[in-house]
Amino acid sequence: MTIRPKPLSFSLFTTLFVFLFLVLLFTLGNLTYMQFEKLDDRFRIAGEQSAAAEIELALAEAISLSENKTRQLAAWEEVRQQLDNSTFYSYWYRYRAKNNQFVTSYTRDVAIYDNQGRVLAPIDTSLLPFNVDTTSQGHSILVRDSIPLVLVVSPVVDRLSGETQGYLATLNQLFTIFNSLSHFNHIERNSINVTIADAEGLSSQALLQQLDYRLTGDPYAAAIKPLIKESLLQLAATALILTLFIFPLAAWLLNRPILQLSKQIDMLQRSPYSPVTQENTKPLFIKELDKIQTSLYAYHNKLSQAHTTLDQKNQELDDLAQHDPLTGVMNRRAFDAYWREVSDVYKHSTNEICLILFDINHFKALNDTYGHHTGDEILIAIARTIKSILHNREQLFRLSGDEFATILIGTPLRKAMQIAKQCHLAITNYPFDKLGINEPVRISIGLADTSTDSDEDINALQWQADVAIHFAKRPGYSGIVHFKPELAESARGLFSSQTHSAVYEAVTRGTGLVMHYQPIVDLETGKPQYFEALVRIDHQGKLIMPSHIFPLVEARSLDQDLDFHVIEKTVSDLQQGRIPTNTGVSINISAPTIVEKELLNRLAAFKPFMDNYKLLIEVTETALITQLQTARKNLEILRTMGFTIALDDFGSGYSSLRYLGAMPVDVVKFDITLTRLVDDRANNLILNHLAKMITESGHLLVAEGIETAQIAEQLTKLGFRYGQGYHFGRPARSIGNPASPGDATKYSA
Amino acid sequence: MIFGGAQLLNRTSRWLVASALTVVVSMAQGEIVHQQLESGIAVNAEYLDTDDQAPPILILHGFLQTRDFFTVRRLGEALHEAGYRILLPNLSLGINNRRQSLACEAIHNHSMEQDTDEIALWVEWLQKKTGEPITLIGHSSGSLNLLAYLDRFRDSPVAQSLLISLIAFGQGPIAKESLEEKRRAETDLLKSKDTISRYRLAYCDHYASTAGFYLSYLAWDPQRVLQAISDMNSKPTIIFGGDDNRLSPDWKPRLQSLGTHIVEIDGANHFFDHSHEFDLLDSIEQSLQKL
Repeated sequence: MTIRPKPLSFSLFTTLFVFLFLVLLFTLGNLTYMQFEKLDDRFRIAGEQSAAAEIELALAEAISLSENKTRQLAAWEEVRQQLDNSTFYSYWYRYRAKNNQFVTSYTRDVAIYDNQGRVLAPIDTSLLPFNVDTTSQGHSILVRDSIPLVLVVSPVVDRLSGETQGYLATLNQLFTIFNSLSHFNHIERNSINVTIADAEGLSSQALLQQLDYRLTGDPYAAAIKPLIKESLLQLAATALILTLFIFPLAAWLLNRPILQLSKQIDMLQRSPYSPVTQENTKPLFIKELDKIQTSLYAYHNKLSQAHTTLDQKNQELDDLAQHDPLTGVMNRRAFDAYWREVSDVYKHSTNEICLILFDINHFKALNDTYGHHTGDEILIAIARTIKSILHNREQLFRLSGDEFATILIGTPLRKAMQIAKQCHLAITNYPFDKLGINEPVRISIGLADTSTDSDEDINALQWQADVAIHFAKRPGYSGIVHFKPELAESARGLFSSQTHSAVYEAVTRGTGLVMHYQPIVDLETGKPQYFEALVRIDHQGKLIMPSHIFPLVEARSLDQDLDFHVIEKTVSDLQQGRIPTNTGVSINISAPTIVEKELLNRLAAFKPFMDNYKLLIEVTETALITQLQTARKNLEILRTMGFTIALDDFGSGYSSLRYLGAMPVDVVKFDITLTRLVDDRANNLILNHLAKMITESGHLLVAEGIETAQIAEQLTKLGFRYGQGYHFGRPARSIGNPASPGDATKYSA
Repeated sequence: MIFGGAQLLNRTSRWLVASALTVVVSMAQGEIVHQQLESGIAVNAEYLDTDDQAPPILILHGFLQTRDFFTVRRLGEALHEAGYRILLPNLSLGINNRRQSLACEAIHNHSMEQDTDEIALWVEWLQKKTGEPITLIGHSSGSLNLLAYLDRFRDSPVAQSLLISLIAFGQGPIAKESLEEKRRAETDLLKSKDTISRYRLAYCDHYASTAGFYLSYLAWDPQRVLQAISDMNSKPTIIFGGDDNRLSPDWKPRLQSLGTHIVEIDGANHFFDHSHEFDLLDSIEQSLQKL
């Protein structure tokens, strides 16, 4: 794990920076001054060395100058004049010796000596000795009264003979010569003095040891030293000014805005989603920082705006995720979420919970017949209608294609039933004909509520409502069913997974699929004319009835598979002689299969039995309304092949005389709901006319659901030629044998 | 005497060439001749020899100068180039083997008589050297020295004398000597003949000399000069500069009145410097050619 160091504040950084700056400045200044001192020492030592060399050179030069002047003076003719005739030497010494072009200001004294070294005439005031050593010519240095003098003795040579006529001595003031020299650069000329008062016969080196002088110093160093000191002081003063004045100003200009920015960032972080205005903020005098502040506010506001937009989008997305885009009601996802909330509430509440499911009857057929657009309009109309009943008190959910639901909380069952009835009535009365729909559109409603004594938890309501709506769809129910425990008992098999698997296996592979046959008899003779093949599934010794089979077939769109297996099984039974000859057999073909070409091929398997059997194909009215043209074409082919076409379930709700006129139908099978009308006198008349009209149009009439002889007799009177029902025989695997126990149940094929 | 411009230019060219060559020749042929006086003092002269047979000439320098004084030096070298044998002696002025000019303030241990002795020595030397009569040319007080020589040695082998800027002591506006100085010297002489005093002579304010020596020069005042010339059988040719400010106005007329041949060069000063050197040379050559 990486340890992230704690960041320091800008103020601390600034203080550290200033401290380091001052330390650096002080160190730099100190180093500079030390370097300068070293340089100064170096200059001083170099100056001393230069001065020593200079004074030595000056001394040598002075001696050389004195010797040259002395030699020039010795070559002067007036000197030789005195050697030739010294009569007027005193006069010459007085007026000429030191007053001629060969002597200079530093020539302190001049004397002429004969070739023995004796002065031509002793002069009292002369500083020079009366005798000179003729063997040691040249120069010697002496000091008198702290004045260094150079004594030079030069021979006077006769120009003609070359012989030494005598000697000339000069006494030269050294310091005066020094003053005449112009090249003293390292020594202050006037500071030169000798440290001894009197001395004789000094050598040059001995004199140099006794000379004292003051250095002029390096003019550059002398000039620059105060400048550097002044510069360092100015630097220190500047640093102080920086510290005392400029730094606070800079800190005010930098630190304050940055702290302000930091506070503003904190403030913005506290209210990240609220737009802010910059009007009340203090101005920042630094362009870049002000730009940062402006950008900060701009970014914050843009971020806030983006957040708001995002919230809106999320809300829209949530709405889209929770709503059905077609009908505008909540979708399955919302239902599940709401259901979880309801479940939580229910755990801590005694309020009644009622789940109402709505399912549109035959919606798939309507959708296929009128197209998806019309189907959508049906869904929209139904959703709006139900919502209008609910008055927005409760949410309406669309759970699947044609299935809606609502959850009523704290609503008594009585009230819930009332709402369900209102919804049912409103849908029934809805003018669907405006949508171009000729058939009535109905819904089935299932209710389940927590008032029902049950040990199951609230989640059982969904299953209970499913069971209720399943029964609501069944004939004999009003379309609105409230779940009761006894319904559950009969529905166990319907919804068991084992049944489900067996049905699926049988429909897709034909495994366990068996055909039971119910006779259709001649009402006048009572003899079976043909047998309707009804599908059953033999599962572990028990029969699964069509009521359990068809919901799965419809839900999985397995109609064609089932139909083809039915054809196959029926043909097999014919082959096995299970159906008496000279009778007939009818099979039910679903609507999707009617329009399939393959159907013709499959039905061709009946061809061998055409001679001995009457073969009927039963189609339901709902089958006729899908792909009407194709269906009619196939039916006509089947008629050509020898099949008789029967319209099943006539009058069950989708009956239309339009179809009867347009379709190649030979037999019309009245639905059991129509057959039961025979007991009602008023309806009996209508049934009578209806039967008469159909019969006169050339169709044979078959009445279903004949359970008693009385009904059979009445129907016969109404013109029905054939009848089918328990009165004549239950569906059975073997014709002539008693019906199987499963068939005892009043299940309708 | 006025010369034409073209002639002046011609002479100038020759003079310049002669001057340039003179330096070379003199350096090659100049000979320093030494002689010793009876007093033991050595004297020297420069002899510019030549193979030509033009007359030998002794040229003497002016007051306290040497033969290297420019008027004398250039004149000697030009004449040497012109074919004359030239002797340029330095008067010793009491100094052994003198080569340097002598300051006024120096001890002047010499007299006019010593000077004429030295001239006589050199005339004799030159005459012996050449075997021909000598032409004397002097400048300023050198002319006076030669006049004193001629006056003293009347039988000297001198063929001609050309006295340039001839002066006399006590003559002319800038002459320092005066009657008072003469009397003071005469008084000093009476006191001691070996005492050095400072007198005024010629351009010197402090001429250090004994009274006797001083008076030996002072004796040659204008009257003495005129007398000497008057006594001469062969009158000298005297050349003056037209602008010589050291001459009194009556000096030239007085000389001319004695029958001397006076040549005056317009515009020239006492030293004939600048372009007047050429005029001086022309004038001398003309005089020499008359011999």
